[in-house]
Amino acid sequence: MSHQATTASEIKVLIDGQEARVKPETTIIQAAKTLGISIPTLCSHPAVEPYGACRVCTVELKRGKRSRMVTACNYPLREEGLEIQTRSERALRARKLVLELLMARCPEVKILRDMAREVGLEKSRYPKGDEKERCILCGLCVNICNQVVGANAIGFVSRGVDRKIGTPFLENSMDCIGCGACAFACPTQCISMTEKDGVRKIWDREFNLAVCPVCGNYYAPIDQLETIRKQVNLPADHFKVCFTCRGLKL
Amino acid sequence: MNKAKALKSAEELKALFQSLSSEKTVGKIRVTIPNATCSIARGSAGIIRRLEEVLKQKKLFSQVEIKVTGCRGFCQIEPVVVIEPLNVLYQRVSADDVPEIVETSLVQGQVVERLLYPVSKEKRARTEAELPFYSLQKRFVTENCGVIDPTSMEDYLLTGGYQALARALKMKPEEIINEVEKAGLRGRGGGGFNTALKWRTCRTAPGEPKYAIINADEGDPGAYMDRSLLEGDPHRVLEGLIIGAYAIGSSQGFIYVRHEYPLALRNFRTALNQAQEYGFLGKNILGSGFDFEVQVNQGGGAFVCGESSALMASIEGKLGEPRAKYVHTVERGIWDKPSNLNNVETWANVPLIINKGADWFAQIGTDRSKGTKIFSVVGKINNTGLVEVPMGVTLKQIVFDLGGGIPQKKKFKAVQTGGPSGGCLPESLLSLPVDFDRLTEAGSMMGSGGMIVMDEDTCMVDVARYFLNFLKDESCGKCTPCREGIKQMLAILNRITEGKGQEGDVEQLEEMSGGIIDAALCALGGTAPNPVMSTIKYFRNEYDAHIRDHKCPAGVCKALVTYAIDPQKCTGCGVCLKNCSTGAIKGAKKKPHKINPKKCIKCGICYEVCKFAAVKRS
Repeated sequence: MSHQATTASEIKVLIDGQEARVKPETTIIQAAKTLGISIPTLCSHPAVEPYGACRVCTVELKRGKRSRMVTACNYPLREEGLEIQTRSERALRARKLVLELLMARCPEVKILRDMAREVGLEKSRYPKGDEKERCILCGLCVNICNQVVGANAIGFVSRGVDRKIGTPFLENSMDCIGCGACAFACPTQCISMTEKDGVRKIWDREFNLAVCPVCGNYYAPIDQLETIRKQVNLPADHFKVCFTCRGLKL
Repeated sequence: MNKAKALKSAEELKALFQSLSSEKTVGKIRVTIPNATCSIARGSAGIIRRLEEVLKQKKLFSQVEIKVTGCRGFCQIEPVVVIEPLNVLYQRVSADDVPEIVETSLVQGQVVERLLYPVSKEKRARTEAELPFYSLQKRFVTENCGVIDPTSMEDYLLTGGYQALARALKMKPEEIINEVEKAGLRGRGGGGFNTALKWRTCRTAPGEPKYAIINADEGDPGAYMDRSLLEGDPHRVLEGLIIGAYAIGSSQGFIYVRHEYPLALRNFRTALNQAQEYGFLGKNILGSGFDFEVQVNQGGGAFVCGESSALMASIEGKLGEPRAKYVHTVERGIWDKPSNLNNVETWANVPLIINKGADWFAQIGTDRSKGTKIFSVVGKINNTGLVEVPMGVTLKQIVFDLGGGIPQKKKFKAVQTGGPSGGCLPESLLSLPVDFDRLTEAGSMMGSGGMIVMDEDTCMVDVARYFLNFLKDESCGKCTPCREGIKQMLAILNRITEGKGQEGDVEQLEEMSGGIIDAALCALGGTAPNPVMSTIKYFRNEYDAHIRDHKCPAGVCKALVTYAIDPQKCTGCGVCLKNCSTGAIKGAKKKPHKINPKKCIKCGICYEVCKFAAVKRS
């Protein structure tokens, strides 16, 4: 995203003292990336709209003398003269708080410990929650399922401290196609997905996997293949052979 | 729908007003009975029924006009009956009083002395104007509440209703916004944001259609200003909305009402239908070429849906949770279109400004907070109710002059303003003038106008714990600091109230508060630490007493309280023994009794029932 001259369609921002020139509406995370500055985040993913839930990417934004705290994943840069500090004292205090709280919630999740160490935090002072709890409620799985897969098979259940992720009424969801995008996107690998003897198990449902007639390997849930085939209106035998054997580049 | 009735111009409205005014019945006896939620809870519906029966029996039914209205604000003395032209107000009336009222007041034209409001031991007040509760009030926004029948369009028109709309439709939209700006109107829902600025931003924001919305998702514990307005004068709120919509350039309106307000919703729906019939809604309103419709949305019981972006998500049929508002809802709101949300009371102020003028409005109130504000004064206070006072009145005036002070001559301890997001202000700040900025400076906020008064028997650590517990339940759970942070702060507060507090707990609460304020997504999370921070700021000694001395000075926190009977004072009357539900009290008649601490559950009933102050709490 390197533009030569400042045009009307470009704005200038200072991030940690370095100047970035970006198109209006660029988010702080994207702008920082152009400078090689990485801002930690758990709930944002290039494939989905920023959700702004984990708050790990909180940074300090200065406009003249006024300073406020914003999340880098979804703050759109729309004006000149903004100065962003990704590691100011206040920004680090906010990030530490969030990580310390998440570490208490999910004591055994490595990515949290790694991020916490980055901001000088070794362990959480708060009482430890259930050691088996790995979900940080970042919502990435829900957003991927909704925005990318389009299946809307999972969503948020209850509110506040009781919030969790699940299928409607926590029953087997007929909308789930077993694609596993949620498990793939999950930053803490807390969604269980297993495969055994041609059956994939996810969200308490079993999906039969298609067998490739060429190599004999299982390659994808039949439900998923059928859904995609119908969505894009492909011929009935389109997914008959596995991707490798068809030599498709994905 | 009766099309013939629809008014096609401002002139037709004027003509209708004049004909209604001349038809107005004179000389007929009128009995006004408020029948809003608070009155109904205290039996007003039974009084109305009984009155109709008695009047029919006495063949007086056709000679008396029974006016059923909204609430007049003074909930403590409900049910109220006002009789005109006798000009008398009866309070705490019961259905059994009705025959006497009919005979004495309606037939003989005499006053039933015992039903008058006792101002002092000797003096009873005959009219509302004599009640101290109304002394400092300026009832402009609530002028019709408790006076007109909220389900009658004629009643509203007779007060000059919809004439502000007729006037506004002859103005240019920008002129209306300028007028509201000159008046200095600020949002009554909590933020205190400049209303004209909001309208202008929405008006100039690109995108069509634009939406105008009434926020009636009032959820602060103990606050019911909006409910009362919608129940008592729904047309005023609607008229304000239509004027605002015209100024903004919106053709579609919404009202978002919480599910727990059935009467408010019913009255507002009636108002909507009537406005449609009379041509104040629909196509080409009063011949101006302006079209406007209103849709009703009911909330599902989530406090967070009072937040603008969550409310709009809920209207869209999505999960009611807030989103980042770096791009404001006035630019991108419902379905990403410019959407202007104002609170019920804010909308209700608009006809007033158009009718009486910005200059008139701006002379009420303080430098930067104009007009009046309705407060619901509840808690440990003698006169519970809604007051409408000019901005700048002091907390002391509200609590003591209007509120009548604390019951049972107990000492005032604190007043909590601004709902769960607000703070607790101590006695030393009672002289604080109530306006948006002064309350914020003091570490609290105006909020939507809830005021909870607390006496010496209130434990401030427990109060902070109560509000955090409320917010823990009401947090949507989307963002980490709010969901996890409130939970952990609450755990610390629970520990302190259980006598397990540690040195450093207060400092940790302060540190967490700062972080949560900075990192939370929406205003619910961002203000959640306020009750904790303000109680630490003004009542630090109570935290210290809990943590260091393991004492709860107010005697509220059970784990830190013990009850014992003073044998010197105990007469052995046995009242405590009879009332004790766990059989913890033993003793022979006329001999000093004793409490068995192993069986005592510290409910405090013995302390309350003892007439000899022999039960000691420490």
